[in-house]
Amino acid sequence: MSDPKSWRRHLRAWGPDPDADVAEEVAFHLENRIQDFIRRGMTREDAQREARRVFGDVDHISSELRAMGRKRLKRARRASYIDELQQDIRQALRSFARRPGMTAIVVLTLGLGLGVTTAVYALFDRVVLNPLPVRAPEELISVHERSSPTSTHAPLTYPMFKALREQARSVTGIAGYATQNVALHAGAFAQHGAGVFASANYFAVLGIQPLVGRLFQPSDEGPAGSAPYVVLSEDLWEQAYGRRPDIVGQTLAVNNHPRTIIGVAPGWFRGTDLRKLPAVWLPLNEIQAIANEGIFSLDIFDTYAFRWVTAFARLAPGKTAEAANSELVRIHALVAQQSSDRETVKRESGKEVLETGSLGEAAAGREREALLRFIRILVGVVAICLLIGSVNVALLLLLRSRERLRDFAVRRAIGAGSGRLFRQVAVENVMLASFSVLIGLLLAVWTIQALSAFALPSGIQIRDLGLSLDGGVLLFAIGLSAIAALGFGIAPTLIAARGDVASSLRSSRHGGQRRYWRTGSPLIAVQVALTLVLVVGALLFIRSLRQGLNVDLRFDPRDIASVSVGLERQGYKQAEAPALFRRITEELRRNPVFGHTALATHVPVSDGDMGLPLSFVDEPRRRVRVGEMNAVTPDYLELIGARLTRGRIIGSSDAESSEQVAVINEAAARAMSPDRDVIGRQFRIMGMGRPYTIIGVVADAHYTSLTTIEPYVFVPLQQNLGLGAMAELQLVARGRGTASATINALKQVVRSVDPRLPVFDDTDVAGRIDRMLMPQRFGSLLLGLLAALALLISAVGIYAISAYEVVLRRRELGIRAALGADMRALSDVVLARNGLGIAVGCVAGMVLAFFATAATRSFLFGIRPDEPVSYAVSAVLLAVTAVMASWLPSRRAAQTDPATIMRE
Amino acid sequence: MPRSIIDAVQGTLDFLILKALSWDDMHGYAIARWIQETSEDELQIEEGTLYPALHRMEDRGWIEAAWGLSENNRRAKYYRLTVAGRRELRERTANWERYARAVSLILQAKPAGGASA
Repeated sequence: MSDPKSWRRHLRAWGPDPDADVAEEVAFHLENRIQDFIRRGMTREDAQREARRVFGDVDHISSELRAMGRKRLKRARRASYIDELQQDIRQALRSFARRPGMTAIVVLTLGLGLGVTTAVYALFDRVVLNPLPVRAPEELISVHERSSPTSTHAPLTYPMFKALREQARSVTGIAGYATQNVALHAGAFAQHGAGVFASANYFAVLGIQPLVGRLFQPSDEGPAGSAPYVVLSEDLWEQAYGRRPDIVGQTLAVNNHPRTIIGVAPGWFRGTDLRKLPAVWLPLNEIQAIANEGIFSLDIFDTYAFRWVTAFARLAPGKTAEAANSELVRIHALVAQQSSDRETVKRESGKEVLETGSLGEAAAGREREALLRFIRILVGVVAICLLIGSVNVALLLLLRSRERLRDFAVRRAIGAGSGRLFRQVAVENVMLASFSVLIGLLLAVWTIQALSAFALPSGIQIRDLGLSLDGGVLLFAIGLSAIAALGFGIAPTLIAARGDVASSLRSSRHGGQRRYWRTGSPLIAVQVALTLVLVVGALLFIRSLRQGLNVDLRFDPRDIASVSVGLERQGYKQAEAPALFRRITEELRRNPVFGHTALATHVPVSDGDMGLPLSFVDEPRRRVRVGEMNAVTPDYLELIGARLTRGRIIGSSDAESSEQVAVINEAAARAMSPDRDVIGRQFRIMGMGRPYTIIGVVADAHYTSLTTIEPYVFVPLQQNLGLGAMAELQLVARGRGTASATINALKQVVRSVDPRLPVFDDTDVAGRIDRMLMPQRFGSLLLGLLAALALLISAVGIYAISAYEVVLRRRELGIRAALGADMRALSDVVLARNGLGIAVGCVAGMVLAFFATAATRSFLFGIRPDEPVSYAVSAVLLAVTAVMASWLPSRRAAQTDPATIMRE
Repeated sequence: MPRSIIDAVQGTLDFLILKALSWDDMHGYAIARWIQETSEDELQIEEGTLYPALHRMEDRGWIEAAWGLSENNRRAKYYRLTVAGRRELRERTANWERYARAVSLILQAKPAGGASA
């Protein structure tokens, strides 16, 4: 019994059933006692009775023993669990310490992937999932007008806003606001910021409580001047006042109007428009006094002619969005009818319809689609990065599990259950995942800071979004790391451990080698393929950015600025236009701030997608679509720097009464008349109306797009008042100062010509082009960095595998070398094995990239997503990197002296 | 058998078990038999009480249990002294001997007054 080996056997046999053990132990005792009594001459019956008497109360003692046994089992289980866990943790730490390089690679690789993914998820969450972080955002609807299904949202007129507000019952309140840039001064503090002029119920409808003081209340919506108050954003409170607690009652100058601070809004509320981060909120009725001083002579609170109130509402309890929509549409139609009786409002009034939609979706702005596309690319890119990192982890852990295979086999042979082995692997992976999450979160914080320098399509400044790693994002990161580390960590270990014990024990150190290669090679291929996708994507973006930066616009956009006015909306008739144009032109010429000045219906780079079909009078069947028809004053061609190649340019002689003329670009000439000279030929728009005679051809330039050159037609403004000039006319100037100075001077001109004329929009042409390239910059930088990272990660992974393979085979290689084999030939074996994975990965990656990069098409300038050079360069780059990573370790092995190896 | 002796045995049952196991690993019945035989049947314990004592001692870590085969090839639960159990036995033996010596000194004492002799 004292033989330790047999003792151990008993230990293992000790089953976990305390009740049965007690019964068996007691029965054994009684049986022995009976046998003893029988041996001493008792009858069996007597012996049984006597044995039970000597034992005492069998049932009582048995139940006492059972209770003790159960308690002990529970205790033992808990103790052994904790004990094993500690063992597992110690063992994991030991194995990490044994291979610090590999552990670091796994943790960093996963951490990098997690970091960028988490940062992009934070962005995705803020912009797409949760653009309005207020109470019950799904109840909020935006209320706007639209003149046709394809036109953009328009704000409401104030009387319309008021009518809807008074009559609507399906919503708890309709709030309205208008955003204007304002100058803020407080002592030495001076800053420009977005001022939101908001109706009194703005905060109440959104459900926002003040951080300090109070927000607006109904009495703040009295006549102008009755509520000279301002609500600060938390950021402004901090920047201008250092968060001083006695902020309420202080004075802030808004556009030089002193306003009393009544409260501070919480910093997490960043307005209802992601593009404009409010600095202050002011009462809606103050807008005329503060922001539009003297610009409008008309009362914007009393006219149906000017749309300026952006409205939103919260659904009343139990009301659906559909019910609210139909009620609001009905009220809108009624009010619009009355308004056209009361006021002669030209054009749209009758046609414009009310529309409601999700306020959250409206928060992303007009170009939500482009924004979503861009963010989807970002998500895809970081997901690929994470996947590459995960595959690396899988590869490295696969190597490790191979190393542990014999260990596992031995432990299983002595009775360790597969549950126990699984737990050990799980503990190791949970620890790796935890380290990675820590690194990942740190990296996510840095990434978010780095992202803050960029803007998203549709002009959302990332720094204004206030991204943070809050609850949901944190949860996402941890969940993701669990999936990545456990899924990619445990699976390969189990695959490796699945093999039968005996063969693993029998075989030498190279046990499980074939199984490894079955799993290892495809992983290399996957990694190469994914990396290739990123590298191709990055190259496309980078080359596209270069194209964008280097694109020869063939006109000089510097210092060109414009402001636009809507004549028709102010009641101007076409007949009055020529005189007005002359006055504006004179005013423009008189101002010394400007170089060239002109009037036009479009300024570059406008998304000219008119697609008007033109056809020659003598060739009516042949139609050519032009990108844009720009009605301009004669100075425009000179201002923009159009170079005449044939004929003459538009002159002041091309008046309203004379023959209709047109100047076209080379692209238009090529498209319309490839074989004959176009000068003197006549065309019509859509085969109708008065014909235009082509008088000149100018060189091509990028007026409508940075990527392509479309057929373009200039026509004299005087002759073409019907071509949109009445709806929106651009006053264009090449200034001598900054773009904003030019814009201000242009606004001055508008005011001096007609104080009633509101300026709709202003454009800084160079700035606009720069902004058009912002997604390129962002994409190139991010993709470039991530692709480089992915390349590095893959190279490290492949290097590690090859190095490991070489180490495992050193003895064998040494023997072969000692027997006279060429070591260089031997190292080729390793290379050949990885080579297959690399080759398959390259091919698969090209195919994958072809489909994946299709999503980037709309963001690429001057380059197609299936452009072969990027593919070729990427594939070569990747193949060379991967082959080098495979080759280096084997070369190192080949250089070792065989004798050294043999002595090991 | 007088009741008082049994009580005395109950209090020192742990001690007796430790001593029994100091020779070899035993199952419960063997321990009971050993105590009886070694004490020349002077100590007759209620055998059932042996088991709660054994299990308690197991919980305290003085002994450990494992299933093995008995002399007649039956499955039996064997108990074995642990290091802690051996230490306990040593301490108890020393205590007992001191106690027994003190008691026997008193029992052998001369009448009062002659104690200094």
